[in-house]
Amino acid sequence: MKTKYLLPHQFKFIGWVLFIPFLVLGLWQLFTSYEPEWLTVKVPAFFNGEISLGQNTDADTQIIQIVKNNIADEICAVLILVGVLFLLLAREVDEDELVMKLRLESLLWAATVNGLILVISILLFYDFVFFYVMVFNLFLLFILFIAKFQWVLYKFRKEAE
Amino acid sequence: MKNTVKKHRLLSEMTQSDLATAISVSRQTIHAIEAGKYVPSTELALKLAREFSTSVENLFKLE
Repeated sequence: MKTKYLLPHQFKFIGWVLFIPFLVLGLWQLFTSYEPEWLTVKVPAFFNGEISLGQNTDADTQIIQIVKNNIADEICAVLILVGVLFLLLAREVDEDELVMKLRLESLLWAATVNGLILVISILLFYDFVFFYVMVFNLFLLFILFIAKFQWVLYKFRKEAE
Repeated sequence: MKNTVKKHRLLSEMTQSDLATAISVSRQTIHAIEAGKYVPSTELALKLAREFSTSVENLFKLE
């Protein structure tokens, strides 16, 4: 059975090469707030500033402008997400309809667990800590999916040995 | 769902790998079908039936 939307198997390797180093780098950057000066550049911004819904927008808020920003965290976040998307979409060596079923079940499991973690986070974390929780949550769904899918695939292959 | 895929495979003197290659799936999938852990799609069931020159009803039965 031909499966739609999948990338060649080689993308799995590229996915790991992007995901692991940039996840480590991103976490290190988050905890140390390290921002290399040479990555402070002018970037196009759709929205830059603070906004409170239902109130007047802050006078310093910029909409559709060129702003100066350190792009170290943006680079890490984008490359982590590209890495996990490659891992999500790369064809397995033994790709067939059962592997696709395992992939979709793992995605459903990850979405459910992520949803439950979100509910708990909304109830337990407040103020700025909630912002950090949301930053982690950007990636959590994919990380849960990768962990579950790799585990299920490992079990599936081992059982058939 | 019960199936007689293993019986038909052994009658045809095929290994799991032979059957997997014949119907373009992995050997693990054949193992999962024979163990009753996976119910294949209609397309795969029809391919199995064609491979063993039998009908889908002969291969798969509701318990």
